[in-house]
Amino acid sequence: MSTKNKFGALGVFAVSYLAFVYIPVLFLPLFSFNDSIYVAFPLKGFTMQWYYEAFQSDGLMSSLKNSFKVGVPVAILSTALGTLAAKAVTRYRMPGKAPVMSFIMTPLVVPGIIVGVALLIIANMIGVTLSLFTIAIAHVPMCAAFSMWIMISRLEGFDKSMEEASFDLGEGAWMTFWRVTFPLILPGIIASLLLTFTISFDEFILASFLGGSEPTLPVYMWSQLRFPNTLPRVLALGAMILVVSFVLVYFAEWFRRRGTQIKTSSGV
Amino acid sequence: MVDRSLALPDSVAKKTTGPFQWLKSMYLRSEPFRGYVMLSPTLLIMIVALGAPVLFLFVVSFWTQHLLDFTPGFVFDNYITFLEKGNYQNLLWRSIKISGFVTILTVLLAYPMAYFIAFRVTKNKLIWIILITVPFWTSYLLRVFAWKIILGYNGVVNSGLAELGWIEAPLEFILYNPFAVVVTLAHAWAAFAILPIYVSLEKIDRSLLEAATDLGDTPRQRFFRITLPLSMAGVVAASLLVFIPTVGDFVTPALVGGPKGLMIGNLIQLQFAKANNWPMGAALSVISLMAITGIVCAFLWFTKRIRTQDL
Amino acid sequence: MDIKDTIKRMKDGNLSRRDFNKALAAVGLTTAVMPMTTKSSQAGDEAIYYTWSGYDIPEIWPAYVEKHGAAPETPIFGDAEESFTKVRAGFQVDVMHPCSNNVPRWKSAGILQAIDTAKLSNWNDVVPALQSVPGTQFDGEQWFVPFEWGQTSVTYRTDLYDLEGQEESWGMLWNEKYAGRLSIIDAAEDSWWCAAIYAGIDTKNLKEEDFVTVLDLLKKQQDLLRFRQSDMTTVEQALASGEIVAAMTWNSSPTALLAQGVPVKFANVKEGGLTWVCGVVLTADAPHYDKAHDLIDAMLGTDCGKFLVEDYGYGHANGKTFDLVSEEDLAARGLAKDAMTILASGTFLEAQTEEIEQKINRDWGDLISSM
Repeated sequence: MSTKNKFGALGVFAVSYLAFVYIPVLFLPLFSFNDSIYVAFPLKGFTMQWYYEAFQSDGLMSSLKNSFKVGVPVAILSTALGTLAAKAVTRYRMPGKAPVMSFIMTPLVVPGIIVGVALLIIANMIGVTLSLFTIAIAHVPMCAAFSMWIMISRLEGFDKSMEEASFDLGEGAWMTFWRVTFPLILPGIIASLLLTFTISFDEFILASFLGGSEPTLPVYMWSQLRFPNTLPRVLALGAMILVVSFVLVYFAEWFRRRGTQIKTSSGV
Repeated sequence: MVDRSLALPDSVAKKTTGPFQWLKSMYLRSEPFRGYVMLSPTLLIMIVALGAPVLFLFVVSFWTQHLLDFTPGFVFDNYITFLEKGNYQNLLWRSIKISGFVTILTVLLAYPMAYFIAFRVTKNKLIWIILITVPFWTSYLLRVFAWKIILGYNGVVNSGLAELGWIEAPLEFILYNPFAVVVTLAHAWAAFAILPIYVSLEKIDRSLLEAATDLGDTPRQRFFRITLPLSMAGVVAASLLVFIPTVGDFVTPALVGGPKGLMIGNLIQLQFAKANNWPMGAALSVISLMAITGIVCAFLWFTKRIRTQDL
Repeated sequence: MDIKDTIKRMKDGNLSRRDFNKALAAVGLTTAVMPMTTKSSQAGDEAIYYTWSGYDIPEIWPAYVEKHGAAPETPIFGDAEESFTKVRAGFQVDVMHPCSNNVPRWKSAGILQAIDTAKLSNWNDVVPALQSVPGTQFDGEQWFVPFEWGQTSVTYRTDLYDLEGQEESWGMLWNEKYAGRLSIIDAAEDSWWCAAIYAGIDTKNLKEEDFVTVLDLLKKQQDLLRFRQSDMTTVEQALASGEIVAAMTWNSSPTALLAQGVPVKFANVKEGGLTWVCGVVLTADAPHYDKAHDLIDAMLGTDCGKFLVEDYGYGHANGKTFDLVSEEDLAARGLAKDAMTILASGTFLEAQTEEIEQKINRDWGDLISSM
């Protein structure tokens, strides 16, 4: 590993990049404390009212829950599907691989609105009631395609001989996967889980077409943006999501630190 | 080589008989069969939740709208309308240009960031990745809205410049035009570009880099001869991940694009929602889809040529 | 590649399996915090009112809660056409919230059924002229119950827009002096008709050349616009900040802005505004037929009406509501005690034939895609 100074020009760039990513988002908390329903400078005064309203608003809270109910299973399922598919196309020689792969990638080239409307009609034809489940069904292909893409770039050039060596050493297929394959593709899997969750959590078009009486967060927000009085509490919620995310990051970090300590002390 | 891995499960297969055994031996003998078995869950979901809708889209694009109902058929009316309307073609072209700018901007900014995490950060890489993803957990709509706050009339940029005494009246050209669409989209899709690039960089065998250094390559030579070519897969993936979905976006242009920053997605949405002309909307979608596919193929061919030339 | 080396890298590497388990634990924590319980409201005992955001609040249906002890379910749509598309494709609701001009089309699509006015205790207090709004009664049956009425007109900043002695007019939105500081609504349903009123064409008897006239006017206006708002927040924020000085809006925007102390006026345009009546319809296969009627009846109550007038600035269908509101409050909102004085003063948004709708939509598509 290079011992070069890691805070060179690249470090400066990285920090500015984080600023570019974060600064717009940080205006949400700022205005969520502003005592005016109009989001504009100058700031009027400090208030906690919007947070109070956000917690009082059943619609806001239940839509947040709904987004989790869709996002978590979709991330797990689509990453599993994407990994399997990526493994299949990178591991085996198959006739017709190219058309099959481009078929799996189609969710990325079809505007969401088309898939949404078409799925809506199909759901109606076979008599499926619209619910969070139908939203999840619509999210899975799109997320699985994203996942497969990530996993392929991870698995491309994956050294088959390591799996074979594991078989030679007497490990079964499952243990080989768990001990050899899985750790190697782990960064890809994490990236895929994060990405697919983010996509599903934030997806608006399919969710608006395929949602029943339970809206996901983006759908609910879209409806609330129409009314200035309800906008500040949406900002308050955005700010809270941000804080909760940071807390989660902190927890992950804490776990990691603990893990490192145990590893060092046990002398591995 | 592959055969060796079959030795173990083969002994298990002997215990079963009948069609099950046939399937099993097929599974063990045929590599494509194994591949397709592995692919089948994903394929099945794709066919049910995607293949059918896409087929529907193609079929409907040849229908016509008669008052409230579709008239099924096979006519090219909708495609002819597109060819007759210069407006529609310009709008598609504008969408492609906007998405192209967004893609270039996003990937150029994301690459150094991904490089930094992959090579400079030695500890807590996961935290960095999460740190980049966190802002994207707040709603897309809210992030677009945040850009309205920044670029807006009383926004951060204008207030800041006015405070510094650089401007007297707020700048109006920074919001409600294609420029604002490009900036907002580039921000919104940042995480989508960093992740694949990071994954491909992370995969590079470090010993190759050390070897290059040992052989007397400067860091610059090393980057262009090894790192960049080996991470091209990630760059290509990132470009497509950003380009393709942004061409069809309609939320961002509607919110920050102003009257002249709209994209093809807005027109498609209009056909499906208010105009209630689904066949026309379907045809516009098919056309956009073909345009996107064409561009993507050209891009893939081009990058492949560059990569093979380098090797 | 050396296997040993790889395994070592795996162990020393930055993302080991152990770390991954830690990350998974963190995700598990989130999931635990958000219990995956099914919502009790899914049981679906209450009427389902598919509506605009802002109408999903208890102030709209006090009598319903009094009677049933629970609130109706309120899924929300972005615009009426979206709700039409969704219900047509099988989304089950009881009551929907369109404007009167949508009704004939929705009826012919077969998604509606007649409303039994005998079940509505407030029906006889509904202004008679509103009961018989064109396109809402068929064969002596009521297919649409009016709820609110208002107009689309120009809201302008009295301190920033100088009338220069001119009368208030739709021309304010074509005034080149304020180029880049004007806005209209991002929907043909409002904006095409307002341009038609400004053009002075006979809206009852549209001819082919009228469409050309209106489209030309809209294209000319496009260069003067800051944006076309798809939501009320954008336009109200922009009026409040002075980013725009005049905009096409409904009654609710000036009402909200005045309440915030922004100096605006809802213009009484000389050509007349675009007036409309919106209300509720009953779906053909409404799962809660009786409760749906209770909901509609509750919405016609004067307690709901007073809230609607004072907070949203829209007129209410129940004539008795107006005994509870002062004349000044009405005037500031572009309303009057007698609904018809307002509705007749402008051009009423009536149901159009499908051919006309399609021509308007075709031209609107041309407009938004033009450079």
